[in-house]
Amino acid sequence: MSATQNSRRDPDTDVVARVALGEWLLLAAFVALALFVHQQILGPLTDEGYASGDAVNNAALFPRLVANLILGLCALQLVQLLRRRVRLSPEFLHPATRETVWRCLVASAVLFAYVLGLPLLGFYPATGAFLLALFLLLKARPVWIAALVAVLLTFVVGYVFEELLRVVLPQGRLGLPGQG
Amino acid sequence: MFDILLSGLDSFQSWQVIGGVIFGTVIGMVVGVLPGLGPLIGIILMLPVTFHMEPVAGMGMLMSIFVAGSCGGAISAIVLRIPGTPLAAATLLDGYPMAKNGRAADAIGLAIASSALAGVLGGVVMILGAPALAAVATNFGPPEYFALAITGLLSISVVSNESTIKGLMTGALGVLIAMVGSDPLSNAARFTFGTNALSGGIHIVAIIVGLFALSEAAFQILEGGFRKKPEVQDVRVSMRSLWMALRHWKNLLRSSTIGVFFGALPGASGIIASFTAYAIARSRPLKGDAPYGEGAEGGVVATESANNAACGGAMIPTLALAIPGDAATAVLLGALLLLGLVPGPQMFALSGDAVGGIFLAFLVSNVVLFFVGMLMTPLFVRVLKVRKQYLVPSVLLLSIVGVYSVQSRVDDLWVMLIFGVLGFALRRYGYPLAPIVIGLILGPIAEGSYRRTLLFSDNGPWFILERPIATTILAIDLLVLIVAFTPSEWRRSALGWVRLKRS
Repeated sequence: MSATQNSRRDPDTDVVARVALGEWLLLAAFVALALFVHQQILGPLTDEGYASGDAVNNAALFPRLVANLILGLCALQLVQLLRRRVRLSPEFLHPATRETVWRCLVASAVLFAYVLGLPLLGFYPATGAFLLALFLLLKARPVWIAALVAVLLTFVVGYVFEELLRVVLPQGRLGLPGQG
Repeated sequence: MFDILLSGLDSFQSWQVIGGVIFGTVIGMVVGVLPGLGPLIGIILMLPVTFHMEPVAGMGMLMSIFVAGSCGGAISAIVLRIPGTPLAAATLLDGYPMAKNGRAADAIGLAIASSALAGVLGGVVMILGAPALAAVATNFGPPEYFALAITGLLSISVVSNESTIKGLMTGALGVLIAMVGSDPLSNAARFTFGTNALSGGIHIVAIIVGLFALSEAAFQILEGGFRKKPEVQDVRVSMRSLWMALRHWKNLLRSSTIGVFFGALPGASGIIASFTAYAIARSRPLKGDAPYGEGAEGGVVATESANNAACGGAMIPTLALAIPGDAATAVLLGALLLLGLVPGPQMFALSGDAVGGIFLAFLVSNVVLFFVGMLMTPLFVRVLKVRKQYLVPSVLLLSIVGVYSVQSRVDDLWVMLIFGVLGFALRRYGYPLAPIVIGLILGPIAEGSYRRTLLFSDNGPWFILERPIATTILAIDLLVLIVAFTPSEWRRSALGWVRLKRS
């Protein structure tokens, strides 16, 4: 955030004091993506004979075109970054506090743990724990109301998807209550 | 017009369709009312559910969310002076002063009645316009389809508010993601790393939900204010609102026309339509109405009719040419593909009954919007009291279960998480996400048409230039690109020179 604090407004772009590191990283990611496409064309697709021939057999024809287009656009973006002409997004300009950043990171970890634990614990135990953790993380108090809402929401969503939409939700492998 | 509606009557007459429309309208109003959600997130959250429905029922539900979500934002704009969606930004100019003058119920009633009436008008134009446009495009061959796909890819990248270069980069990224899996023409496995898990490609629902819903949840958490609970009064609206709206019939017709026009232009959207309609209505006030900016009924009628008529306008190029105007219509286009309908001119010839059913669902959703709005406004106002600490986890849960339900695969959840991180990073640094969706949908069409064009020509890609329609479309694309990449100072001085010459 501090990288672009000293910016002055321009109708189309902001001329920033210093381009944020994230801009460079994203540009590098796009370049890497285009190079990866070329590597795949020169590697597996060429080995299997799909990188040449007529328009039907040449599966590398269009990806090569798109990868080159991305490289061209990256060159243009590089010029923009060197000229420090960057359009700042509302999300970037919004001041996030240290506390909300911390809560966002913990919420991401909870989400990651939920996806990891879902096949293991099953839908009902994992979802109840996931919701309660997030409610508490986002300052829901008192705890018993948060727990009640977590349980009710888990069962309502479970009922809608299992009974009305006939979806087989993850059953779990640990033999916990609510599984199978 | 009647032929296509009659052909759709069979597929429309089912409880699943009618139930889907009513449910979609309620959900649309709820997501519209809640600041930060909006019709796009509503459509994305319900997208996996449509996978378990009939095509007309699924599309009916999603279009009802689109229609009602465009109207719901007016309620929070009027009651709280916070537009639930950007579409309602112009509504607060007169809606909030009306509420301050003790006429909150009248303002909300006017907003709902105007939205419903304009939505029906927009729907009629869509029913007349989309098949006519598709009929023109029926004779198109691969070169023309390729040119159209390029137009679709360019339009949203170039016209959107974010940087053109970044928009084009994310559009190209969407095209590349669509290539993961087996190539439909040669059966070659592309970018699969030799795994079977990627041979069928990456599921579009996991991508869309990850990009939009997960990144939105992260930004909502970063914004803070988890326990904020606005103080709102109970509001009840009456059927009298319909007559109040009809008193402004000239304004309603004019604003609806503006809405349809801007809606049909890719990238223009209902926001520009509502501000334009407001500006024009302001210069033509109705006798006996309050001054504009101080609670004029005409202000609410103009903005709300324009942004809801824009929904019908936006569906014309989306259905007829597969060119979506914004992120919401891009996701609707993806939904059509998910439900087994191939958007574009061929859809009208091959799935005429489904198209008719979708048209009917659109019209009925606007009628349902009126009644749901009249009956359930007190509930929607109460929804504003839901705290973020409960809302964000609920949205996350619906996203996760929704994505899982499509294929019952936990792998899709990992894909969703990866795209959630990607969506967050891209949004933070001003890379628009909508072009990715368009790239995902139009990428395969562009590639297939391009390769077929090459197959049928001895002249290489230059064969496209021997086709007048394709050449014209590509020339327009090139012109748009040149304008987009021209520095704004040059554009301004060129415009100044033209004005000087005219004067």
